[in-house]
Amino acid sequence: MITTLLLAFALLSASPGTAQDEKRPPESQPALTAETEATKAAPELARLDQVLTLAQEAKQQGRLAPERYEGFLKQFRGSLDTARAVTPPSPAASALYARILARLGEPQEALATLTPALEQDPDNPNLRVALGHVRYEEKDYPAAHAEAEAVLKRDPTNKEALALKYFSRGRTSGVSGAAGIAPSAALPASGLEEASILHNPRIVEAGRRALARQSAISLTDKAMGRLKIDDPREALRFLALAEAIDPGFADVPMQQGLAYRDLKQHATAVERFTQAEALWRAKATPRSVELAGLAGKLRESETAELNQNTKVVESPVSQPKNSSTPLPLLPVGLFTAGALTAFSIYRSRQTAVSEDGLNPEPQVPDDNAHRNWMTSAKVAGVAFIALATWEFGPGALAAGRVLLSTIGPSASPAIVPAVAGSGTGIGAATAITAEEAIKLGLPVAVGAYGAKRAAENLYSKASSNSSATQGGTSQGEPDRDRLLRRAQDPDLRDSIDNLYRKNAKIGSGSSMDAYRYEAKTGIKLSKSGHGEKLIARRDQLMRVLRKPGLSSVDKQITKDLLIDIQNALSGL
Amino acid sequence: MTNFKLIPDRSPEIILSALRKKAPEFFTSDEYLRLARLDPKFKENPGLICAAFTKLLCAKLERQEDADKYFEIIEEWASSKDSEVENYLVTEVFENVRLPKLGEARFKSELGPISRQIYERWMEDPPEDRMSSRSGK
Repeated sequence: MITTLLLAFALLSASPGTAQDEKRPPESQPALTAETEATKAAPELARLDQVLTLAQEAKQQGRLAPERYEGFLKQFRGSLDTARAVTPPSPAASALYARILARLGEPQEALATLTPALEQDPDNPNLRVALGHVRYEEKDYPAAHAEAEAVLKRDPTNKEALALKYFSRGRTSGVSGAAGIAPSAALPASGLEEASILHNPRIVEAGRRALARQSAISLTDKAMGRLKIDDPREALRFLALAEAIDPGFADVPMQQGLAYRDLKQHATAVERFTQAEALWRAKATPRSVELAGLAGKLRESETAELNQNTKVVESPVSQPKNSSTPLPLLPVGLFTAGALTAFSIYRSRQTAVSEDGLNPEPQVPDDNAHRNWMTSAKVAGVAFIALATWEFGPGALAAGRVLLSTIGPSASPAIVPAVAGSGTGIGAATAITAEEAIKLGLPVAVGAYGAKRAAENLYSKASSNSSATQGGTSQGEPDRDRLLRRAQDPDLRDSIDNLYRKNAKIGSGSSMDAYRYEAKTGIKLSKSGHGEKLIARRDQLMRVLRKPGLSSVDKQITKDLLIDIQNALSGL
Repeated sequence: MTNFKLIPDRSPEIILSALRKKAPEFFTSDEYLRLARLDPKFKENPGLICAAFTKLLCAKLERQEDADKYFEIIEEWASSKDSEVENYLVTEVFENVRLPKLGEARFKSELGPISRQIYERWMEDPPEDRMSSRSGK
C-alpha cells in the first residue's frame, strides 16, 4: 500500500492537475477552488497537501495500516521540509504550510510558521484564515470564529472565511446564529466530536462537508420561504451564504435562478440555471458525462484514450446531447421533403395569369421551375439542418454549412431528396460525434455537389435548345407564341408583341424578317420600311437587358432578339 | 449638281400635337408612363408612343369603351401626308393591333376613310401587288 501511495505521490508530482481532478470527489472541488491562490504560490506544497489527503483517507478506510502510515509520514515530512525550503516565501505559502502542519497534528509548529508572517502582514486574509483553521484544529472554536469574522469584515465574500465562520460558530454557540442556522442542522456534533477524538483529518473533512451541506439545505429552505413571499433579494442573501458554505450544492444556483427570474434579471437567471444543471449532471449522469467533463482538462492524447474507453462502456448508438425527447427526424424529414417536392412539381406546371393580356399567356417557364426546385431544396435543407442542430448540437450546423455551400446558386429535383437525406444523415451522424458527422457529411455534400453539376448541365442544355428566336416555327408553334410563353418580364413581352405580328406571312412574322425581306426584294412593307421600328426596339431591349432581377431565360431571349435585330439591320 | 435641302422630321410634332389636342389623358395612362420606366427619353420616341397609343386603344375597345376620338387621331395622322407618320401608322399602330375578343376586323371598321385606305394597302395587299401598283401595273 505504501508503494501505491508513493506511486500516487509520484503521479501527483508529474501531473498534478490530472490526479487531483480524478481522485477528489466533486464535493471537494470547492476546497480546491479556495486553495487556488496557494496552489499558484506554492505548487509543491499544494501537491503535498493532496498526497496527505490521500494517505489519511487510505488510513481512515483501513487500506493503509497505522505502522505504514507512520512510515509514510516520515517520508512525507522530509518532502514537506524540502518543499518548504524551495518554495519562495509568501503569505499564501506560509498559510498552506501551516494548514498542512495543523493537519499533521502539529498546531504549535503551524502557529510558529504563521506568527512571523502575520507580524509582517497582519491583515492578510490567507494568513488569518489559516490561523483560524489552526485554532479550529486546536478546538479553539471561538478563536477560529473570531479570525473568520475579522477576515469577513474586510472581505465579506471570502468563501474560506465564510465557511470557517459557520463551522466554528456552529461549534461554539449551540443556538441559532445570526443567519438563523438551526444548531441541529448546523452541527452534527457527535460526528465531529468523534472525528476530533480520532484526530483524523479525513473524517473531519467529511464532517465538514456534511455540515456544509446541511447548513446549505437549511439556508436554501429559508431562501425558498423568502421566494414564496416575493422577497427575492432576501432569498439571494441566504443563497449567497449557502453558496459560500457549499458551492457544489445544485439547489443553490437553481434557487438563485428563480430569484433572479423574479427580479427580471433573465440573463443572470439563465446562467444560474445552467450552473445548477451542470452540478446536477456532474452528480447524476453516467460515466460518459463524467469522462467528458474530465476530458476538457486532460491533454489531447489522454482525451483520445478516454473517448475510446467511453465508447466501450457506452452504447455505440447515438445519444442526443439534448435530454429532451428526440425528434422523429426521419419521418418528419421524409414528409417535408415529399411535400416540398410535390409543391415544386405543382408550381412548375402551374399556368400563371397574364397581366398584360397578351395571347398566349405565359406559363411558368423553365427558369421559374428551376427556381422553385432550388427554393424547395434550400428550404428542405435548412429545415433539416435546423432540426438536426436543435437535436444534436452545433456539429450538425457545421456539417450543414458545408452541404449548403456546395448547393450553390442552383439546384435540381435531385437536390431535394439529397438535401433531405443529408440533413437526416448529418443529424444521425452528429449524434455519434461531431467528427464522424463531418466525415459522413462530406461524402454526402460531395454527392450533392455532383447532383448539382449534373442538374446545371441538363438545365443549360435544355435552355440552349430552346433559345432560338429565328428561323420560323418550332414544333409547329409560331415564334411569337413560344417566346411569349417563355418570357416573364412585362417590358420584354411588350417588345416581343411589337416585334412579332400575329398571322404574318413573311418569315417568322417578325419585324426583323420583314426588314430582311425589304432589303432583299426592295419591296417595302410599310411606307418607309421597318428599319426605324427595329432601331426603336433595339434601344428598348437594351434597356430591358439592364433591368435588375431579370431572369436568365428573359435575359437569353432579350439577347437573342438583339442579335436577330442587329443581324437584320446588318443585312444578315 | 443638285443641292439637297434637309427637311426636318415633323412626325413627332404631328403625332404629339394630335394626342395633346384630342386625348390628353393618354399622357397620364399606364401605357405611356411605362415607356419612361426603362428610359425617360422613350417618352419622346414617336414609334414607341404610337405603340403605347395602340395598346391603350385596344384595351379600350376590348373593354367596350368609347374610342371614337382615338380613331379621329389615327385619321388625323393619316391625313398629315407625312411619310414618316404614315410609316408609324403601319409599323407601330396597325401591326400592333391585338383584339383577341373583338377581332381585328372591328378595328378596321372603326377607321376613317384615309386611314382605312392605308390599312388596306399595307396590311392586306400582298407585297408583290404593292410593287406592281407602285410601278404602275
